[in-house]
Amino acid sequence: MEQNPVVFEAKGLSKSFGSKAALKNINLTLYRGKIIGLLGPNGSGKTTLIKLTAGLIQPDAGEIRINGKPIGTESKLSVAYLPDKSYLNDWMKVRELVEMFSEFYSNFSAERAHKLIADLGINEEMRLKALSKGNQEKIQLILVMSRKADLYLLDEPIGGVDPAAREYIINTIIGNYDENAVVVISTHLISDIENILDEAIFLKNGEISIFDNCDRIREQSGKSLDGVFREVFRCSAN
Amino acid sequence: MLGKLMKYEFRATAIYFLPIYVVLVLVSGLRYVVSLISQKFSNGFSAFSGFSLSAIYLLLALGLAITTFIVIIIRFYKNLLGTEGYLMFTLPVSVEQNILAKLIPSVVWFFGSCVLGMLTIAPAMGLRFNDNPFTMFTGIRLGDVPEILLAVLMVIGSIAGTFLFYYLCMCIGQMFNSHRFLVSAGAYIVIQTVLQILGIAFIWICASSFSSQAFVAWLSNAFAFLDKIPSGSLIYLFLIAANILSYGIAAALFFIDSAILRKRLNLV
Repeated sequence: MEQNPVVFEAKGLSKSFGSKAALKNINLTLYRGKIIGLLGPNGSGKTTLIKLTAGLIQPDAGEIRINGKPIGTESKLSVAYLPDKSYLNDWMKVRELVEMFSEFYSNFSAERAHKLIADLGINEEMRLKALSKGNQEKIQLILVMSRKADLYLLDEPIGGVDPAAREYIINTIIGNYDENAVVVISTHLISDIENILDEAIFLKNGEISIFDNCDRIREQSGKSLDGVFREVFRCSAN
Repeated sequence: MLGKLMKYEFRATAIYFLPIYVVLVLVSGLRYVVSLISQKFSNGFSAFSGFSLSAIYLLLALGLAITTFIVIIIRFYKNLLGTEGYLMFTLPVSVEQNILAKLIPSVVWFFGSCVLGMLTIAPAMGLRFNDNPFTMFTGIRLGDVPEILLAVLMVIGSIAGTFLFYYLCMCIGQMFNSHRFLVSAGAYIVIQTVLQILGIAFIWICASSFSSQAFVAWLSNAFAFLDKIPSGSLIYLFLIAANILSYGIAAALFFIDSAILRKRLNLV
């Protein structure tokens, strides 16, 4: 069966928290086979957009479709979500977490997960809470990237980690994502991931200010993505 | 998928309940042995040991009751509405399955705690059975079994309804962006108060109506069919009606909880 080239589609998406508008009338379509940077400073709406897509919060207006279908049980199988915080049951052993993901996600590769964990030298019989914070984050990433999903939502995967861990995380993402999928990486640390991005979305105060191919952004601006980011968001501070 | 969710829920909650169950059984058994010994060698030490073990048992039973209540609330709040909810609500399972996976183990543990309490309290209090520790059940006739089953079903329905009501308060609390636990507690107090006011109003209206002869006549007429039912069957009718009521309330609460988590989920 031919796959729908459109993986993600948002129409008229808005979300407020109290009186603060986090997202304002977002219209966005994402196609297969792309690694996309969701870029913006803290509070620009990146996490809100990702959580709406994961179905963890509900929009005030508009809708999101994954593979043409609204957010629901079916879409959750197509979306692999890595939150910006620890979300696993920390009393469980690493092996049990791999088993849990295997049981619930039919597109999860336990073999790949075991290999990646072994590469890190982590004993799978250890409980998650006994691991260092860095290794806990890596286990989360491994579990998410061991799925053959259509849409990977990675919320700040390289935030708050040392440069060596950043390199490991980026390599794990590049080495394991399904090339027919869309990978959305939310970050404000652009220089670290600039080279792996195909497209970039700049979110500014809950609105999309730029959404384009990275090469075209660089060509038109004569700057790196990092340079464009600094320029766009320096203006907003003035 | 529900079975898988429940498997993990039982594993997560067993670590709280099973140790208490084991200690409760051990203390009760020990107290029973002490009562047998004191039957033959009655002295101050055996009396003191027996009293101490009974006191320990009561403290454990109280601890179990508190643990049951806290675990039921904390598991729902932490595992579904806290950061662990980021996993639970991104698994390819429905909201209804997530709620049932919390509810069913909670009811099982509650029921298990009650049954364990019933079986262990007599020996733990130093009451001796003659030959058979199940003496207390020997008075039950075969004909009573359907009534007992209906009563047990009614209790299960009521427990489920009570837990779903706690869930409802937490579901309301999670709709707010801050002070969520306080809002949940506030929702509990407000809903309980409203229900009590409605209950009092209902009783007051009924009491007032009974002074009206026309109302009493209408009531007698409406329930005249009860006179035709054999008295032995009335208990069944009552239990069936009570079951319908308790499961009806539980179903309505389940529907509301599901709707809130499906349409107003707000994992901040």
